[in-house]
Amino acid sequence: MRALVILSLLTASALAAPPARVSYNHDVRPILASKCFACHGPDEDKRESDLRLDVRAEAVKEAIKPGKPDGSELIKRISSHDKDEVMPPPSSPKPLTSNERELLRRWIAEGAEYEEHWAFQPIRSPLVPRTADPQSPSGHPIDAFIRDELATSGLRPAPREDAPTLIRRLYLDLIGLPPPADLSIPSELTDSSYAALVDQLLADPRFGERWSRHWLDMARYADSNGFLGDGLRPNAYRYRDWVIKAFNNDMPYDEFTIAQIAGDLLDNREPGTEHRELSPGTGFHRNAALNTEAGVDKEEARYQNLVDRVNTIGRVWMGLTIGCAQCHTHKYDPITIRDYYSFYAFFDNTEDRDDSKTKAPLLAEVSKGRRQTYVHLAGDYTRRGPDVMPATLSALPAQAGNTRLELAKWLVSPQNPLTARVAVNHLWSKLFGNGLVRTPDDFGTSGEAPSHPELLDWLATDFMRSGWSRKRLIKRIVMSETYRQNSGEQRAKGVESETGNEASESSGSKLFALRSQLDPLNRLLSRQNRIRLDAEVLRDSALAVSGLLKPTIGGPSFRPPLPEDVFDVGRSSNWQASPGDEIYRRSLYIITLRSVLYPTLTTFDAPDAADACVRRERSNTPLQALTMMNDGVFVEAARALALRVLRVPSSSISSRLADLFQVTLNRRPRPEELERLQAFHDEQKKLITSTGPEALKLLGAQLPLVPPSQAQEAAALVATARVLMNLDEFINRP
Amino acid sequence: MMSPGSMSRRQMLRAASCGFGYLAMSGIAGAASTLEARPPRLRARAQRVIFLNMAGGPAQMDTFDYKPQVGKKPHAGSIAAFKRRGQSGLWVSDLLPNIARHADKLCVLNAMTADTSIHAQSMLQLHTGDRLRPCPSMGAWVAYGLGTENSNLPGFISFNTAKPSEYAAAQLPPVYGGTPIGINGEDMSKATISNIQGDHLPLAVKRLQLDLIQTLNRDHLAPRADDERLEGVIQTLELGFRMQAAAPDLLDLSTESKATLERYAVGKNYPAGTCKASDFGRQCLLARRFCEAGVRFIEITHGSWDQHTDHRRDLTANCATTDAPIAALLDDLDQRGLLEDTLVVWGGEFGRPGLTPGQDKDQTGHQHRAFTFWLAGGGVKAGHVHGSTDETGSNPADGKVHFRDLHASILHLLGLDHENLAVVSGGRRIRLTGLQGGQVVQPIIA
Repeated sequence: MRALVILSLLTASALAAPPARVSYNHDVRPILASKCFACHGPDEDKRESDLRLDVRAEAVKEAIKPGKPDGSELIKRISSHDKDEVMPPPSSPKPLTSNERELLRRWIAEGAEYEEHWAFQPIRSPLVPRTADPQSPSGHPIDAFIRDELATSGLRPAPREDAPTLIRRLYLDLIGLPPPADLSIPSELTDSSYAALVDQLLADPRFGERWSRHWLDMARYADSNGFLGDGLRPNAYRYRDWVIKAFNNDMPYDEFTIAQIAGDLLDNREPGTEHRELSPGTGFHRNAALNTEAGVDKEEARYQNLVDRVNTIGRVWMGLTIGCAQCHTHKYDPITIRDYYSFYAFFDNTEDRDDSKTKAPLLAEVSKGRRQTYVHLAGDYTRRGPDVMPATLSALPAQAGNTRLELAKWLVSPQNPLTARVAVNHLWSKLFGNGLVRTPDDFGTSGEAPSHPELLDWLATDFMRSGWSRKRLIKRIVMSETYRQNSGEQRAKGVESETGNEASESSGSKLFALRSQLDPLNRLLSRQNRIRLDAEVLRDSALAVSGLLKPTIGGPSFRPPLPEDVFDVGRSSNWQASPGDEIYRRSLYIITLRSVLYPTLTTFDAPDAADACVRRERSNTPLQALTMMNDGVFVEAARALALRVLRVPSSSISSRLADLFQVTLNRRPRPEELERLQAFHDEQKKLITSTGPEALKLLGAQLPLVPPSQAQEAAALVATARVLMNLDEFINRP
Repeated sequence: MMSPGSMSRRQMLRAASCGFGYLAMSGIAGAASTLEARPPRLRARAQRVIFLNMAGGPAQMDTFDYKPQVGKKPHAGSIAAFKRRGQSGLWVSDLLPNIARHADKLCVLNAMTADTSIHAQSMLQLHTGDRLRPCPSMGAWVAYGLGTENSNLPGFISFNTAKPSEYAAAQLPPVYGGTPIGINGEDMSKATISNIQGDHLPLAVKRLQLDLIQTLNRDHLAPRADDERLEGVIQTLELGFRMQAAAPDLLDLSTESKATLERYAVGKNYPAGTCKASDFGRQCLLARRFCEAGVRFIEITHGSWDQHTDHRRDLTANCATTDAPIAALLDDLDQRGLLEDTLVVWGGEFGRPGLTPGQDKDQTGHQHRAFTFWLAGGGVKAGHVHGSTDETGSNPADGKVHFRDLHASILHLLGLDHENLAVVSGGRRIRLTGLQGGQVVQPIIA
């Protein structure tokens, strides 16, 4: 039976293709890392027999004879039956499987080539490819890279999105709100008017509100400490407001980085005085959850806090899971436990301090009683290992000094291969739904490789050369045809061909089939992606179209009304919703209490602020449907929206319904859509009329505001508004 | 021949989307690029699963894996007192007197083993088979493989779970994902399905609204979206709607007798240190009710068993909180004839090393190399122990069972073949037992 299976596998692979070469990064490194490196790897304290297998120059001295597996000591040892000879030794909990032995043998037979991982190689400055597809020219460098790949795969870019949809996409992406109802939408969008709209939205202060939220996810921002006590942090918002401002002022990303890692060490004294204006940027490090319970070991709590800082910087700036090296040398990436604590050492002499005037939480260097940092064996804060000095990761280009300021400068130095790539990828992911690297918090060897490595490097280089301007980078991306493409699959109906003519239905279907076959995940970007709105954008959209949204920027967080089923004795039992129209502010300002997360947001995948969230999940659950149908804020928004439309003097029901549709979805309804709405509306009105006053409950608290003669019409419009706000089109960014 | 299980799944799909979804779905099923062929059905011994998730790493040596002192030198082992129980003579700790009554129903796996002692990763691996990347949760696989017996309820309900990734559908259609009830670490005494009841609109009116929503979505999406996405949108909306009719009554315990509430210790908590007020009695009673209503996979959670400090105090509290409710659940399942085809699974993401007598230490850490799970009902041997550990309980001696093997066995008992229950997503073949695959633990099957 077994032989049969193997035989059929062999046949299948022989037919398909010759067996692929063994890849060091994909096949070999994971084996060596998990079964050999512990004693023969980067960690010099644990190294046995002076043998290193992680560096080729060392490995080929004795253990490996490239091309000659039978002459290699390594193969002899791993195949040995002598218990004193065999490797890994019998005492090891991790013996090699026969498949792994075979892979190692093949790899040596093929020359034992090592590979450096792409993300640790220097950022290159690739040339923009000449357009390989003369039928779809575009002067934009991004398009050149994307279309070059598409052409190689036999795919074509999708046509440009229509004007109303494109404008809606741009508003939602750049300022996190739908276009205003009174925006006049041209049927034809010229390049210059599109560019003007981009500039206008980038200059809009609501841009900072939207994009700061992306950063706050990574900064694990919250307004409370977490853990059992979950004490309030009444001044945490000062950091949040600083981030909003930084985005609105387009603070260069290198400066933005330094301000957060080591803003306290910058010499920014006002001339002639001793007064130092401290940037709230270092509040970044104060966002982590903090265990302040009585009886908590202070030393352990401190250690956990520092570990969180190190791990967060690793994920956010370098896209590395360096946290793995906290207990042991990293299994996949070249990060030793010694590296980890050398990095940790940059933070070992910091203390928490609050600004004397604003009370903003800050980080500062201690002046007295400085600590000598050491390796914490197995990640145990009580087990002292060798002493270490502050140092950046040994696998990356080194830096000069040993202060936090120098660490920050190292992060944003042009020689650092990670920071610019990671930043560019993160911004890209917010405009396409996925990064060029689909594991934005893992650029290491167990993450995914970039779909367009050259484009990634070109963007990273361009980003650094243009002074790390995020607004400029965003503009570059949204000006590309790749961004402006249609997001639909264009399956059944005709699809516009590149010349602008309506192509036949069959060619549309063919294209669909081709795309879903060649590139089911749309990695090559032969179209835009539809993206389920982020929780905040969804709530804000509902408030915006209904006219309830209160636009104040910044200031202390507010408390929305909590649903009845969310409660916890002692914490939320005395929850009091903020007064007046405070509760209609943007979701960014909803108080984030780690123990009482606002369910309307978490249901739509808002993060819990426990760790840095680099990429949100995008789930689709029945609870979301229930939230859209029944949650207070959406019900109230539908009521207000209905009344808003009712106030517009209108000649007919159908023009009123068309208005309602336009306000909600930013386009005129198609005739068949209007027909369906009209039928539903009429049926509802009949139902309401026959039910009597009971049916007017639909208007809730708005009932007294409606003239009695219009009450039934208002109720029917509320029902219709609820339908529109539940549509997939409303819930998604096109 | 069509087996009953696959029938109900089809019926559900048909009901879910008035025919349309079913057709779209069957279209997908034919396309190998999206879904592989349905697995061949094996003989099913269990129809549903109740998973008692003991989060934080329960101390196996003070509950089920008795490790008395042997030899002269004190060594790590049990600090709780143990007795042999029932006909089978199974060892159960004195801290669990009520579960001990059911010893003859249990199938104890004393040599469970996991890959990591990091809570979040091991918890994820216990749920999805993968400790790093998002993959479908065990409950989602079961709902996907067998469908649900009640189209008004989700196939998978998850009480008090910590993270969405633990009940995610991931690469499976979203409708198979778990529906969460209650927030982890919070008081569960009033936890419900959020927004299950809204304003006072009659359901009939909401039905009209939903019909229009579905029609407009279809109009708008059909030419643009792929079938899979459209299907996801339609099904989750439908399920959300139908849950409004069925779930509120199920969640309402006021129809239960006072005696029942007492047996389950509903509302009784013994919080101490890591042991949170999980109202585990209410969770157990709700598990029985959802089980009777036809939900395939019900997960309930108590935690945390992570007794780093004050081991004895917190262990006692954790045992006291869970003992009576679990015993009452086993009683009821047994008396109602449900235990026969309901598989009950007890365990956490790993275990803990034992304490050494004579040492003035009350702290325990994590131990992933050897720990305990137990199963009951659903076609497993009763009053049976599989696997053992060495004298200090720190390593498996024989009968080692990895999470992958546990997953393979659970699916096997449900009549699903873990080798074939798979989907292809983004060019990767995804299944609960992962690339390495697991082994069905044959010796535990009755």
